[in-house]
Formats: sequence, C-alpha cells, structure tokens
Amino acid sequence: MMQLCNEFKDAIVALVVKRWSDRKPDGLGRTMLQKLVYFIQAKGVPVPFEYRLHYYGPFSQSLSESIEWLKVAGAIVDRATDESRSDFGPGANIEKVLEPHLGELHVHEAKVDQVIEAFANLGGERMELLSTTHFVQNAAMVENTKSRTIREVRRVKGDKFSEEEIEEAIKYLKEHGF
Amino acid sequence: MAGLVVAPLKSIGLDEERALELLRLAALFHEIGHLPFSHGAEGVLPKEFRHEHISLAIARSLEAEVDKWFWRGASQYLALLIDPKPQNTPTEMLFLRDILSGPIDADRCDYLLRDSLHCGVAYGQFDLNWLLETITLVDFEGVRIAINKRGIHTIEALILARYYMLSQVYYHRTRRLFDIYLLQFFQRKLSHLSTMKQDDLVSVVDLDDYCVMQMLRDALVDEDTETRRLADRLYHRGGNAGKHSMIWESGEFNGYFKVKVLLNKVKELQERLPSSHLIIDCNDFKPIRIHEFYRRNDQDEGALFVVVDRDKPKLLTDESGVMERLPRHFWPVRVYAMGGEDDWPEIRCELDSVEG
Repeated sequence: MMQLCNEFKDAIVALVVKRWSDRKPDGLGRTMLQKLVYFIQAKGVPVPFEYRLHYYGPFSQSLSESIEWLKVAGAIVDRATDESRSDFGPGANIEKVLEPHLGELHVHEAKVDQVIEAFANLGGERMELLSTTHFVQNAAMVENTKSRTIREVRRVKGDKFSEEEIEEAIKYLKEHGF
Repeated sequence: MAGLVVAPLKSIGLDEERALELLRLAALFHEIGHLPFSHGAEGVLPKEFRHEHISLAIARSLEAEVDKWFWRGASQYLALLIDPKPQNTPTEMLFLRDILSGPIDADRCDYLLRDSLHCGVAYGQFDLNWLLETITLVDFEGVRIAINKRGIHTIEALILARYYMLSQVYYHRTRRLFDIYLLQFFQRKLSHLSTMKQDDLVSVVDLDDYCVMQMLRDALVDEDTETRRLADRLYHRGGNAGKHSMIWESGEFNGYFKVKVLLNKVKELQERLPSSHLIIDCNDFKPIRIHEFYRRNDQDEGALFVVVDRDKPKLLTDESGVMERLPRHFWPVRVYAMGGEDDWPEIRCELDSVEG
C-alpha cells in the first residue's frame, strides 16, 4: 500500500515527523504538524498543500489526507491514548516513504530543520497566531505594513490576540526569515 | 456590520459595485477550466493540476480583455480570487472567496438545485429562499457569514441535500463506472494531457463535449482493440463490448484502514481471478467530504460556522444535533466485474469477510 503515499509531499511530512522525533520525544500533535508543514511550504519547499483559514489558523485538508495515508502505511504512528488528541512519531515503514525521495529531501532538509528549530518550543495558541499572521502577510495586494497586518489579523481572529501579541508575532516571523 | 466587510475591500481598491462585479466574474471563471464531461476525466491531468488551475490559466490568458471589458486591474483581482491555493488570496478578499467556495457557498446553492432538476430526482432540494432570508453576518473571531437561528434547518437541509446528491447521483455506481471508462479512453486518446505543463493548461479550451463525442465516434473503428471497446461502451452505453457489473459494495462510512485492507484484498483477487476483470473504485483514494464544520473536541480542525441566536453567536455544531452527529465524509468502495461469473460468489464472500 506504499503507493498511496509515495509522493514527495508525503515524504516531506514523514521527514518532519522524523526530525521532530529526533529532537523531542513527543508533543507533535495534528495541529502542530499542520502549522509546521505550512511554514515549510512558506520557506519555499515545493509541496502542493492548499491551506484555508480554519478555527486554529491555516489548515490543509489535503495534508490531513496525506497524514492519514502515512499512518495507514505504517510510516508514522499516532501514540496518543486519548482519541481527541494526537502524538505522531516515526513508524516502522518510514524509511520506505523517505527512500525514493532522498535526493530531493536532501535539498530541502535544512529548511525543515530551520522550521522545527524555530517553532518546536511554542504552544498551540502561539502557533495559531504566528501562522495566521503569516497567512495575512503572505498575499497582500497593498503595501504589507505592520498596521495592515495587525488590522487583518484582528479582523480574521477578532479579539483573540492583542495588538502587542500580533506585533510580537510579526517580529518573531521576521527574525526567523519569514 | 456590512461596513466591516466593505471596509477591507475598499482598503484594496474595491468599492461595493466593483466587488459585486468581480464576484460575478469569478463565479463564471471558477468553473471555466473543466475538461469535457466535467470532473469525469480530470484524473487524466498531472497530479498537481485540477480544473481550478486551468480556470486560473484561462483567466490569466484573458487579462487584457478582462481589463478592457471591466476596469484596469480587474484581471489581477480575478486571478487572486480564483487562485486554487486559498493562501494566495489576500485576507481582505476572503469574504468574497467564502461566497464562491466556502462551507455554505453560492456554487453549492446553484448546482444542487440545478442538478436535482435536470436529473429528475427529489434529492438535492433545500429552501434557498429561506436560506437567503436567514443568512447574516456576524463578528465572531472575525467577520463571517452566519445563519440566523431560524435558518438552522435549511443549513441542515443543504448539507444533507449535498450528501444525498453525492451518494445517489454524483457517485452513482453506473456514473462512476463510466467515469472510469472515460478516464481510460482519455489516457489512450488524449495522453498528452497527462504531461501538461503550467504553460499548456489553457490549450484545453480546444476540447469540448462535442469534440470528445466525435472522437468516440471515430474511435468505434480504431485500430486498437481496447480503444475500440472503450469507445463502444461509452458511445453506446455498453454496446457490443458490454460493461462491467457492480458485484460488491462496501458500507458508506469507511476509514482509511478499512479502505486499505479492501484495496489489498481486491488486488489479490485481481491477480488470482483474472477472468473477472475486476475494477475497484474508491474515489481516487480520497474520502468524499460531506461538510467541514468545526466541532468541539474533534481532532481535525474545521471551518467555524456560527448561528446567531438573539444576537449571541453560537457554534452551528452546538446548536444543531444533526450537524453535530453527521460524519464529515463518506467513502464507499465498489468492485465491478466483467466475465468469470462463476467466481463472483467467492469474490463477494471474501470481500464480505474482509469488511467484517
């Protein structure tokens, strides 16, 4: 069944799970994985995931499908005991997904590591703010000023985040090359 | 409240009149990239492209005309609004995008009622007038389309209508079989589509339903036996070549693991019993989405949809027992066969035991 997740995009997701696991033993939930892949794509890694703004920020249905097939293939495992949560780690077949794309993965693995390094210690709400802020900045028709970003984040998230928090998010993204 | 929608549009240079014009234009362009026979043979395109990419390519090829017919710069707004990647649409325009293709969008409101009428089925009906009467705007974690509490049942009816149309019409077993034949025909006669590059996408406008019907007629005397057989099936709805019969169907609500096990089993049966010429259909390995609403405690994120009850915003999935319980997707697996009838009982029995 490996043919169901044999594309480069699947290999990138598997690589994120692997690299996260090398760094931290646990804590890679579904939402965090969505946001990490979002930022990896934003770094220029050519994966075709389409993101919409959902309840917790950018979310990709096609990525969600890719994650499910990786689980079915045994490339990643969900170790969470509580059904309402997830905790992804590498599965026994992860190398079978990575192997066909080693050359291309090698080209992009530094970006994967940069993204994990930048966000691994942040909580869910912070990731929601950072990814939403980036989403707002990503496609601007007018000059992408700080005031526009604050206004648009406030508009799509309401009062959930303060101006100071959004300003801090803009700064954090800039510091990490976004 | 309407000002909260208009202000961001104005900030990017769109007044109300132009926004409305743009929305209508985008609604027309949104579907313009379909291949002949719509979604049927879209699988012939390279994996990275769908009809939305073709729509965008066509819109870009008509930039000068769009700017001339509407206003200077209109084509740029159009391209951003119909971009297949939602993350490429500026957030100021997301409200317009939601009307075009959101959880409750104009596209669905249009095609469900139209297809229901033209297919002559009662499925697909919902109260569009009441939906328009009760639809509203709410400022709840951002300005968004919402529904007045009195309209909850029409939202339920819309979502159920879509589920029934998907299940009974769009994914009807015979229609799906002919989609598979059509895809196989395209792979033989229009194989250049499978290697298309971004720059070639606009060339598909040369292909339409009439053109494909003529190709089918011509292929009835094709030198290649399999091409001739496919043309006969498609052109004569079975014809002398005959068509496959659906010999087994799973339940509707499978998960990924169940689909994987069934796929493995069918693969084994295809190898062991070649005379049945088995075909499996599992919607190109993707579940079929019924809705995408956010629900509390769901692992998957979802789209926030709000019900306004006496000025108080509430989650649709909290207020509607139907939407709280309705699965997000369904995923039937079907097996078709042609020939080797003596083996069919064994095939059914083995698939039944795998399904459990």
